[in-house]
Amino acid sequence: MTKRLFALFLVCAALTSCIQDEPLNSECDIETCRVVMDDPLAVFYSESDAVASVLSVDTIIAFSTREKANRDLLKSVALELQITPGATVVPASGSVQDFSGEGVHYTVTSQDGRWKRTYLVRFVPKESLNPKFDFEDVELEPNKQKYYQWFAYDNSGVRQDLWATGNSGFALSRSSAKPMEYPTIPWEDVVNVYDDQGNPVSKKSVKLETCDTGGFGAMVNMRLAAGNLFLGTFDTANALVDAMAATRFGVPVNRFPDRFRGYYKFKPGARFQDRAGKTVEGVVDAPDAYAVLYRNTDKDGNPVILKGDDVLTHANIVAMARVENFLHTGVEPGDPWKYFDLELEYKEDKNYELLYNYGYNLTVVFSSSVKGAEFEGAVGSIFLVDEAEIVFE
Amino acid sequence: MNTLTKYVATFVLALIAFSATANDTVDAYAEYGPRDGRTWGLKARVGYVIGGTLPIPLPAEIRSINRFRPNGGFSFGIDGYKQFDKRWGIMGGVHFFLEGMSTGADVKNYHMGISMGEDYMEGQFTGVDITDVRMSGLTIPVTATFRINPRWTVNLGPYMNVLFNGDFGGSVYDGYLRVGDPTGEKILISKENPATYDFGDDMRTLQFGVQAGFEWKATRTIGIFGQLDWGVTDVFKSDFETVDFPMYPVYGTVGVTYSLY
Repeated sequence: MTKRLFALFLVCAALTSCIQDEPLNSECDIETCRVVMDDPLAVFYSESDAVASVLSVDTIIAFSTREKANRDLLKSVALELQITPGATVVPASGSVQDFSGEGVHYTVTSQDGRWKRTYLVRFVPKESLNPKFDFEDVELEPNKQKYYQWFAYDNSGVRQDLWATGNSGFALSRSSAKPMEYPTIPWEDVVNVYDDQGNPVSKKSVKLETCDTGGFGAMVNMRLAAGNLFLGTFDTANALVDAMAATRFGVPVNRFPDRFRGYYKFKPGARFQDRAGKTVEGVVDAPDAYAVLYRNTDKDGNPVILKGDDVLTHANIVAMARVENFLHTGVEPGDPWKYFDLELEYKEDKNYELLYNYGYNLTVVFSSSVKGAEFEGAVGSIFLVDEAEIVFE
Repeated sequence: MNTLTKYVATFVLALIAFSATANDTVDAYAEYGPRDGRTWGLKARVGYVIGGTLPIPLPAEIRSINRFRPNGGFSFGIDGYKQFDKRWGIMGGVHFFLEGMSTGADVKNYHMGISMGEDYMEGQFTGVDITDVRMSGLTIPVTATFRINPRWTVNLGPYMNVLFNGDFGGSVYDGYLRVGDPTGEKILISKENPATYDFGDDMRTLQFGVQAGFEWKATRTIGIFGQLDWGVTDVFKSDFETVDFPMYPVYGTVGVTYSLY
């Protein structure tokens, strides 16, 4: 027995005697950012707009102000920053800065001094959503140019980044994928609609395809990625922990939506699979398209954001329109586009005071697999969408 | 290797110190030596194996080892030995082994790169890493033996491992990955949905190392032995880049020897 203990001792000594000193932190994030102000409601529609939780990929922190907020109020504003422990930030948290112009840059340096990140903090008037979803404005994501992202312009030509996709999640699992191999990509097969001069209106549609996520996807039990495009944000940090929480649906609106319209083509993939990747016989994949309007605060004034698991069921939902019974049109250029035009059904009275304070969020969601959020569907299901719109009252 | 030298030296010195009081006569050497006045013999051995497959030295990114459990280790085999004189000899054999470990470690900014086919993901992980290793195969040691006194023998020499089966798997959770470098995208990983890995196919079939051991003869036929097998080749193939630092098998065995002939 003593010999056994001796051998054990040798191994334990080898294991533990070598634990080295803890390395200093390498991260340099702004985690949250709060505007310190005596009267936040003079600048913001709600107090919750004065706090920004910053995603790990963000380099711009934008606070949405009232449309006609007095910019002079932004000349001396202090931000309270919560940063990675041990890191330092310049200018310092709590220091008074002038935000009436294009914004202020904050640089965070990690505790070990080896890494730096620079953030731009801006105050911008809340955007009023461009309701024509023509999907013409698309670009490669600027950091690594690996996948496409969609944007639009408002009436006065100001760029709006209100559309999101799950492409950044797919980038994690399929690093070798080319931009056109992602689940959500621009497509050249378009609806033939013409303007008054007889010129074609649409040059691009959007193609949503349910894709295999490869070995990494299987590693985290997320074997497929449905192509999706929605009004809201995609929080990649939560993509593995709680995929349903990664899709944060909705953008604030100041008009009530009446109708949801657009064109689609659809072809289901051949083999419907469950989350474990096993074939489910007799099930044919279907896409999804819907518009949901909801109150974006709860009774106590806390912000409410609908996510993957409650976007169709949450108690704050005010109105909804969802396309049913999708046709299998085929997705080749010669195949016909199917038009849909649905009225949003309201289940409660419209509150205009709430509306004018941007108290409602609207989301529009397209997905190539209706159960894609649960990682069920058929790889190869293709859903093309073009010339969609929300008609406001 | 410095650490290894240090441990082996301590081990040998301890044995010498222990043996200093023992009776040291030629007759006694014969009493516990090979039978019938021969200079060679055969012995069988069976033992319990405990140890780990680990990076040496442990990188600073490993903050603590919270759990260590051997995975069902045992070995058995047969050795032939030859005495050149009263003290020095040589021993060689073939031992079957089944060894492994399961560890839980807290890591911080642990750089990992993982490839899956043509896809590659790399980043810094902070959180819990669970590693499970199981290996089975044959050890073929050739060691020099030195009889400190009639009952105590120490041996030292190289060995070769031929792996029949190797599993190297595990999972990471309760933490997050920064993709690429510490400023990259932060991906949370939970215990409910861990990221699992399996590098069993990337293990090297032929491994080499150094064996140091002792034997204490209770009778002429039966002895008690202990040995340490310290691998000097990475357990992974040289083209395997997922784990940034080489991992070495370090396994100790204690057991019983039986003189067959």
